[in-house]
Amino acid sequence: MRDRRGEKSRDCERAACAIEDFADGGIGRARWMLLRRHVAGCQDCATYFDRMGAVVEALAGMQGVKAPDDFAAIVMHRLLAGLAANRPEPDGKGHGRGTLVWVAAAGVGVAVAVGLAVARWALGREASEKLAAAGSA
Amino acid sequence: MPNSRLSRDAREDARLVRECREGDDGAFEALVLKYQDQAFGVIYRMLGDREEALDVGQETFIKAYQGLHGFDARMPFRAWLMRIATNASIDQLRRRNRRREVKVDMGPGKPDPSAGPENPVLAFDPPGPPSDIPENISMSNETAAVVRNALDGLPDNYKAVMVLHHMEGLSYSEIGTVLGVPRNTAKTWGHRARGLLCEALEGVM
Repeated sequence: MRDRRGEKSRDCERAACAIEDFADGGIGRARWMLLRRHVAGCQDCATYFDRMGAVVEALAGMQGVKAPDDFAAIVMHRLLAGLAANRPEPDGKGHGRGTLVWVAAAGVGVAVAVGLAVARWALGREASEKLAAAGSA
Repeated sequence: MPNSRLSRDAREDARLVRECREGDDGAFEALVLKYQDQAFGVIYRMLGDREEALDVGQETFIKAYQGLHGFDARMPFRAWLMRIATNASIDQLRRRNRRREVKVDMGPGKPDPSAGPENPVLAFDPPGPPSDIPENISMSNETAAVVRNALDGLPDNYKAVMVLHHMEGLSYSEIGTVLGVPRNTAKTWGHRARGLLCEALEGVM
């Protein structure tokens, strides 16, 4: 209820606080009785009280959402799939694969070196034969 | 907080977290099973879309798993998980708002079938199948729809307080921990949020 200056009375302010506390999870019996008595004679506070009750009731009516039954299974599947992609292979398989790569690379290196040596030897032999032929001529 | 003062639930969570850090994936699955409904409920109510909530819910638990090694065991696991869920929901809402802004910037054209209804109150589509939500039959559908619609229009932080307090039963202290604000700030946001929801009922009752 408002006074002549249009301001809320102290009782209304107390009632508004009580309504807030009621919405927050309950108020004591004595405050509840005072609030009921006040709203019975104050239209503004009664309207506010009704609206607050409706809001709390509507919010409470939205409880109880459940995750789908397979939610945890999907989460764990995604997690384990991601972990498997990032984990090193067990039983030293990853280590073995690395060794194979090194052996293959060393093989290629040796083959190239042997090829170069053979080519050099062949070129040297050809050059020395040409020199010998020129000398005899 | 000393261990002796932790609740049984929190002690069990701490044990599961420890086992999980030691490499036991089964322990993490137990945590998922324990908190999936609560986390999914928060995200679902924040977003109002089941498919989006499923994606964000899965991401929430994956982020939690990845962040377990940096998790401060002095904080309750539930509050930490709810923080991840709430932040993920708010991020998703922001992404959605940005997409909407882009659509608005495109100017008039063909009507977009994915756009919201002309009258959001009358055409409000409650998230999820009705069987998921035990609506209170004593309240008129119109009133409940107005409150749901007004909740959807609240600022993200106010909405989070409403969801965490009224739907998931968290105290303001817990909400403060979840949102990273003092308890009194969380309480003030809650009061303002309810005030806005009450204002939305003007003309209805």
